[in-house]
Amino acid sequence: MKKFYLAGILLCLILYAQAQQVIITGTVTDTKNVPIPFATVKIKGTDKGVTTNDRGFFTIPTHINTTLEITSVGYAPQTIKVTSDKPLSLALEESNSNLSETVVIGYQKVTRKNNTAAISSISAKELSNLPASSFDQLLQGRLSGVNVQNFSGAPGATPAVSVRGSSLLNANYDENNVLNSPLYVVDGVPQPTETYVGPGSGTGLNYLGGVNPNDIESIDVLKDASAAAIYGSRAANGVILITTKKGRTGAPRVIVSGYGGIVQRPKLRDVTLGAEERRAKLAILQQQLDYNQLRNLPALITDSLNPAFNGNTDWQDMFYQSGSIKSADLSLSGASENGTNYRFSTNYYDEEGIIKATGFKRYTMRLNLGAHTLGGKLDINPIISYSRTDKARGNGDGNSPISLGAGNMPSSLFNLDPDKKAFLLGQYDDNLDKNIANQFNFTLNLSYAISNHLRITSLTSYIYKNSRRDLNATNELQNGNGNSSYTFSDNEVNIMSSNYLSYVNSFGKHNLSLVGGQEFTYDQYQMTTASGYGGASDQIQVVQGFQQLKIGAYSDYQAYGLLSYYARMAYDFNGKYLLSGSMRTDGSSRFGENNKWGLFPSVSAAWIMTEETWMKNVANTFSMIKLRASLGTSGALPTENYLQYNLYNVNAGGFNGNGGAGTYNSITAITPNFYNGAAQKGLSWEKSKQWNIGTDLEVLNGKYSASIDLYNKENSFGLFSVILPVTSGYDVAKTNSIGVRNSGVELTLAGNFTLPQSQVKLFSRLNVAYNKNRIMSLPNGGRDLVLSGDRFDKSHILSVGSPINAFYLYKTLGVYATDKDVPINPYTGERFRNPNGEYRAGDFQFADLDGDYLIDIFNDGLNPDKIPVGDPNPKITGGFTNNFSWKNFSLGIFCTFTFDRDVLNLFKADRFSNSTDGDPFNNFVRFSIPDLNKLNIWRQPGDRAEYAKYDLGTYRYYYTSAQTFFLDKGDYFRIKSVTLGYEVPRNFLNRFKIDRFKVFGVVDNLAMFQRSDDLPDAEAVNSYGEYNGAGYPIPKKFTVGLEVQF
Amino acid sequence: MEHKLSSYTIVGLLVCIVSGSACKKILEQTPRNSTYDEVFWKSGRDFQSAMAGNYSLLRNALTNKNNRYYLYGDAVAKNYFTIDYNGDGLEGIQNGDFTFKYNVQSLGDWTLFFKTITMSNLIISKIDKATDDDLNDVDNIAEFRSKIKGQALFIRAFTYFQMTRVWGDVPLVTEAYEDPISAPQLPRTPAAEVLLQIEKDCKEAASLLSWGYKVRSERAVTANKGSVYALLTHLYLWRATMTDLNSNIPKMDDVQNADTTLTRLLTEGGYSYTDTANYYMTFIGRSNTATSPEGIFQLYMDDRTQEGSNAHIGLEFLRGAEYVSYFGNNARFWVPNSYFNNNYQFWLWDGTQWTRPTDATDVRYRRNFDYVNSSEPMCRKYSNVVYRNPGQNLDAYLSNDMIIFRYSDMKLLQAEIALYKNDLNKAIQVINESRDRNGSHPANRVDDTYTRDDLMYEYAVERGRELYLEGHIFFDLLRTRMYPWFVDWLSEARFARGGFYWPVSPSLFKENRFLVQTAYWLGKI
Repeated sequence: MKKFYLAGILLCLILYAQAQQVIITGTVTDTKNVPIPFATVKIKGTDKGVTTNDRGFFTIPTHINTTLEITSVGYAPQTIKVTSDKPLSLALEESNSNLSETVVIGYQKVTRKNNTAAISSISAKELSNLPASSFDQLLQGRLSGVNVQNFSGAPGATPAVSVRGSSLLNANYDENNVLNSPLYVVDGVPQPTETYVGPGSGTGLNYLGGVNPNDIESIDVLKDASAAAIYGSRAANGVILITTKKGRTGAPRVIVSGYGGIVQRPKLRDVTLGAEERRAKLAILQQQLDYNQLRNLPALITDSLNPAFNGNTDWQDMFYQSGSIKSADLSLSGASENGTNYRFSTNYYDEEGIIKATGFKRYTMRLNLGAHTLGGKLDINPIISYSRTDKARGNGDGNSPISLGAGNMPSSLFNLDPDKKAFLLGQYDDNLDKNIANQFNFTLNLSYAISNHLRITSLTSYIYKNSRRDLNATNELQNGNGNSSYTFSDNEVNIMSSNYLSYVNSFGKHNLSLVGGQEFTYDQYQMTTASGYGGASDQIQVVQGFQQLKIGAYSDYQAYGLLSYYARMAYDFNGKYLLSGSMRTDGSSRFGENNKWGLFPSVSAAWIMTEETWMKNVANTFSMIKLRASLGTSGALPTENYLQYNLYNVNAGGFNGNGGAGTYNSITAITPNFYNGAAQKGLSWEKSKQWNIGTDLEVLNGKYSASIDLYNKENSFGLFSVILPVTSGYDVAKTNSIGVRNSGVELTLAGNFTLPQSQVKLFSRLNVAYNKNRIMSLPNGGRDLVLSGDRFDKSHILSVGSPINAFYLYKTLGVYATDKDVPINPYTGERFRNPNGEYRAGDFQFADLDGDYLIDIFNDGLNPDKIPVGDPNPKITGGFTNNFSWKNFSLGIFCTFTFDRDVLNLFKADRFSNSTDGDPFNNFVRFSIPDLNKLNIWRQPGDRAEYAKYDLGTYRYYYTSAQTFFLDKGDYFRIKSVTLGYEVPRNFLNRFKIDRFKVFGVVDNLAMFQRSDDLPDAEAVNSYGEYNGAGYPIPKKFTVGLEVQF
Repeated sequence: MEHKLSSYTIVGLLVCIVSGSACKKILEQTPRNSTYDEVFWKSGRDFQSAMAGNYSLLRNALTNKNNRYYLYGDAVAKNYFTIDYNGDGLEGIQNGDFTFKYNVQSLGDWTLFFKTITMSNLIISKIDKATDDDLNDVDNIAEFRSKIKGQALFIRAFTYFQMTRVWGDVPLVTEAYEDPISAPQLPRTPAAEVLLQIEKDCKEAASLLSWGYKVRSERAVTANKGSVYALLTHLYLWRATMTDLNSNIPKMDDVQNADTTLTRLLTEGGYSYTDTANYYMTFIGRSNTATSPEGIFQLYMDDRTQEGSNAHIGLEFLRGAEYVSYFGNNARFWVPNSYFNNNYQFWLWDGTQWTRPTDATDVRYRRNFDYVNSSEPMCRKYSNVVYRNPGQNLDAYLSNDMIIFRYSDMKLLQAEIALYKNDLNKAIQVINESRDRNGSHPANRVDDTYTRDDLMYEYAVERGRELYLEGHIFFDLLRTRMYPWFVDWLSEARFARGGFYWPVSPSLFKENRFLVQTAYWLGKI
């Protein structure tokens, strides 16, 4: 490293050429002579530049014979050669082109025109004032290649976000850990979004919920390896860069905005109520039970005159309410002539959910300061932000906010007595589950221009976050065993420092830019929980007053370090041939001695065809045609910090009958962690090799534009648990053993339309991404692996050649109309059967894949009668943006869609299955059933039915959820948001010294079009592609608001 | 200008170099949330905890799946207790069908045994590597080493013995793998070799351990020389009788080995009977002040130190508020009447005719069972209930140790050895002594009118009385060839084919191509 820096100094000394210095001043206006504020004036070949003030005026020290580049969003860029020190007057032409905008690609900014990588971006305008608790929810459909599924409507929920597919394989079912999420970088600082505890023990708050969407200036997604590789070991799953707003030159500006509205619950599930339920159930029972069984039916169904049992209760209804949403924003910004700028903003967001006692509150504050000193050579830019979020979680269950699922929704016939109602609703008292998180970020950005070409930058950040959960349950909610309390508290410190040199220069037609630097990250996490149960007083809501024996405590410490060196080079010849390369090497504390370091290189190149002289004749129509290609490698880290150590289990005295025993003969028992604790010193980085080819087109100066990308991303050496020999004493160990491929194509089309003879303007953008996901290799000789820890039916498999988490199902062929339809085994004369008996009329017919006339019902491991089928991962995703404007009115219609996804409807299956219950008849009577009148269900021999007869304790499991009958299509097209705005005319406002006054209304989640008739909402499906009916429904939101700028 | 530039750069450079080297340290993050291999094994205390871990793993293996120690040793013998149907299919094993998937997957899986063995192997290898400096927190380092290593050897030997009695041939590992990730897959080792290894381990353990206990709290719940000798006696008898399944003639050299081992244990071990007036103490394991003098080896499960069990085998039987305040009147396990018919009824000439009364005066009958006149009599041998919520009498745990070897067991084995040696008088003496001691009806005695086979039957009956629900009976019946009288599903042909061994869980074959299924079960799973 020392050599590297010395070389840098030497280089700058040589290049420090003396020339005559002059101060150039000028004004930038549009063609109508209206001044353009915030236009960038930059000396070509250097990174020196200034911005114009609110009168379009600028002043810049430079030399004669240098070239100035003037750019501003919405205008075509211009260059001018300085020939004298006279003031310049520059008029920019309007343009729809965004080629002169800059994008941030890790330690560097490049213009969109010179960019060689696959990047999608959106600006602040698209996200502002939309009713969402975190910005990641808003990314849905706006960035090609970024798949966001807002599957939970819970306030403050974390959506599933993946960039160009997921490569995460997990042998254990874990609903909170299905996709690998991208790296989020806020103002140059990689965010520690990893969680060490699940939502069940922790607060389950979305880390990104602390960023106020209205503070965001732009979001850039680095999709291909050439852009992402500079983030090395954490970039394999894409990088999402967030730039927050800064102060702008000009008079101080105050913006006040706010909105409020209501949140409406969607349509509830279909249930049969009252007499109709009784009739439907009796019909089934009379048909399937014998006389003795019928005699013993519970009074609930037979005694319709009993006032306790003649109810008409819709149980779902009790848990819902109508929600509300409020948000208020204040920002203050400005800058002085000498470049000192500031922006302060604060936000309050409060959403009350549609399920009782659910909600999300956010308070944020952000201060962004900028100062130039030492004659403009040193830039000082501190950013301070603080946020506090508060998420109310209903009954305290992270994934299932209503305690009544498909299997245990009580019959409507019960009349609710007040005690029972109090018990059910008692879980929804606000005070019983409090989740609060505080986040404090301090970032200091120091940048010193050593010369016009060489700059040294130091970025240091300190992030401190803590969260706290207080959960308690009353004696009654604990079935009379005494009240319980639980407290969780954690804090995390993340320190990052990145120091780099950047060099920019032009040599004739050769333009070169270099960046090289070093970075370290240290992250430390600590948590403490305490709990008590069997308490004596409901008034106690902390862990006090419990018997010593009934108190539990736990704390944890986790730390990791990351040390990196990186370099990037960008070169272009005459703005025509572009080449860039980057290299990063990361060392991580998570790996053992010999495997700490990983190297992540990338190259990319582009050719701007329209710069060629022989293309000049098409340049009037095609303002730009760019072809680009990239190749590179990025990495991923294991989530565990101490895999290289053989960690021991302390208090390992547990056994069947006393799982909590910690001792043997009162001596603390210590054993190695025989599950997965074998020291894994040989582990290494998971690598993702990706190529991308793409093209960017621009027609008529940006009136229309298109970009297409084609990519192939191969993840190899993925970490996965392999089974160790039983005789080694250990169960599993992680190895670098899996391979996953994601390949696909992305398309973005945009156009600006102006209707002739009117002032109606339309901007339209469509983005579509197709991603195909395949498992390429698995450990243990590529043998299929059935996910463990899944529900009883085990309906997911990992199989080479299939998509990740493909369904593992029986093939349903239909319903046996009569007993005669059941095939007979020619060898035994027995009918087709499962181990618990022969199939009968009215049962589902399953394909006998192994041809043994027996449907294997074994549900733990591979099953010869089940096959991998379907794909739970969305293949086609995208969005459609339409912004109309007419005079001062604006209308935005934004739609999102997902096509080609399979969904397993567990909810539907569960409603028919009483086959596995010890007491099927009573359970059938006691719990709610679907409306059978609407279904073509088998009722009597000969029926050509779609649905098999209701399964009552047959043990033939024909209503198992693991069958293709319950596989549904997850395609949907949603009108996600409609925004209507009106800006009060300026000349009217000037009288009140108001710069801007805008009123707007938003309808969020306006309409849904989906292929499935059975799913209540095709998006409300978890990342395994399962709908289980227990999630938080996605609500509609209606808000109105205003924005005022002084 | 020039000057300024270089000074700034130098400062910058220094910052980078200093921070750069400091950064190297952040790549070394050591765990604080647990101890780990590199820092453990550095004190006597560590070894004691590891030893406690080894016992715990054994306790976990034997209690796993409804207390599998008793399922292998008692439940499959069928006539001793009945498992009720509740949907999990466990009762199927009582008819000799071990193939039901949920049973073979749990009871056919030896994974937990290998975890116990791995721990023993690890302790054995680590204690040899530990320096005296590491162990400077103990008083007598040499003695400490012997004690640790001896116990680990015993646990390994006992675990293998348990495994080979269940499966016959089992994989044999005696090394601690340096890197478990590259450990090889192993085939099954012939039972004879496994037994040789057990014998070798026992002999080494015996040489390292001593009789008696210096620390009272360790008595019986940790292994000493007596525990090793008890295991060795059982091993010799098993090997004498089970090496050739087609022969009913025991190998006399092993019978002789068993005899000398047992004699030494009884004379030097310092064990004695617990007074029958204090009957339950034997099965609790200890009283407030003393450990049962019968205890030779037992696994500690005392709830005074929160090590009781709420799934103890005893709790499967208990019912009625008299035993557990909140239990109903049904229990999943009960004692079938056939057990009392076989083990407690005896022929009595009442002066006019032969009758078959129940030997109701036997303390074991009186103390071990309740509701004897109902259709589902209850076993209360283990009924030392402790309520963790004493205020409301909720949260019941049984505070009864798991008895593995005890004095009465060893005393009775004398009769078996005598019968193998055709010393009928000795056998008569042992059996009658046991009946005398337990207050059996005076007419219920054996005498020289009994043939060897009759005596063997009476011996099996006596074992059935004494060692009810202690994990021995099924193995006793196999050794003595008395199973046809008690276990209807085990024909002699099936016995000869090793049909009493358990099949191996199919899940263990997944990775291991060397593994073969237990011969009898080939093609049946």
